Amino acid sequence: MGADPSRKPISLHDVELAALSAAGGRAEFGELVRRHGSAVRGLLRRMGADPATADDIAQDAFLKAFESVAEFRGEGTFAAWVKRIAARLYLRRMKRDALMVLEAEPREPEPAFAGFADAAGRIDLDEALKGLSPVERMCVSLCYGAGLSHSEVAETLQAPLGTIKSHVKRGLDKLKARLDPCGEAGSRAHG
Amino acid sequence: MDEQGADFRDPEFERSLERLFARTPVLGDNDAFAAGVQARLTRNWRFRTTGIAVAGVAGGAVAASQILGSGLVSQVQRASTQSVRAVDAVYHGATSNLDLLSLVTPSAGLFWVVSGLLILAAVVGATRVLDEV
Repeated sequence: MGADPSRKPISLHDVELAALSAAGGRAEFGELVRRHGSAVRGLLRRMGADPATADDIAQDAFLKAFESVAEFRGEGTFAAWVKRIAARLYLRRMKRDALMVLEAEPREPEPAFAGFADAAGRIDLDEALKGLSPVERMCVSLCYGAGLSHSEVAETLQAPLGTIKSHVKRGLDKLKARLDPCGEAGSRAHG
Repeated sequence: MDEQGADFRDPEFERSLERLFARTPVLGDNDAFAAGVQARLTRNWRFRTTGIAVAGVAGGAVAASQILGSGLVSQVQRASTQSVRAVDAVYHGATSNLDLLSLVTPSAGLFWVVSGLLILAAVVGATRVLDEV
């Protein structure tokens, strides 16, 4: 990962910035935070964290990422790597504070609309996620937002794999009914 | 996510969902957040470097006090004085042997005997120097 330290951080690729960060470059890591901070905070909010908690955990996640940035090999995206760190930190926080009840009865979904779309016709995922129970929302976000597998979620939450799969399936069913009532999510998501 | 579709069989919807998750708007306070992270990084870095410096100074002070307390400096001085004397003695012994040699007729046997003695003297001298140090 040979990066030219004389170039400005803004002009460097994530992998180059990560390599320079691994050599102690705090300015380079700052650029990575600027690029991906919103994505990480956004994911935590989608998982159900309130904005203050999301920011707090996102900060911790980036600090942890800086400590172990040498382990980032550029096999996936940097954002995905930090998202996984943040998601795990959030899960740990939830478990520590006993805020997560895995066996909770799922809330009845709000009545289905003709898809959550803004004025430009874009699907509003955040609005659709509000119709899920907290645990469904978290499980779906972990799998599709942070890229964790069902097994990883089950392991991190120390919950049975079958329970996690059930939560994910219920969450996806609800999301599909809300986002894609006519089976058009795929085509609209491109737009 | 190989196992994602195990129970929910709609790969197209799952892909579109992943795309939706990947699309995050840039939050208004993004720069402030980044500045906050960088400030914490700098604070941690300062704390760490200060800690290392303090630990280094403390370790150095302890090592110095141990050295002074054990009288190592005087021992080294004494050892080096004795070493100089030992080398001097070997040198004088060797030169006196050479003076004696000049009185006799040189021969190959005598040459080897003297060489052996000189080497022996050098080994003894070196051994003593090493013992003292």
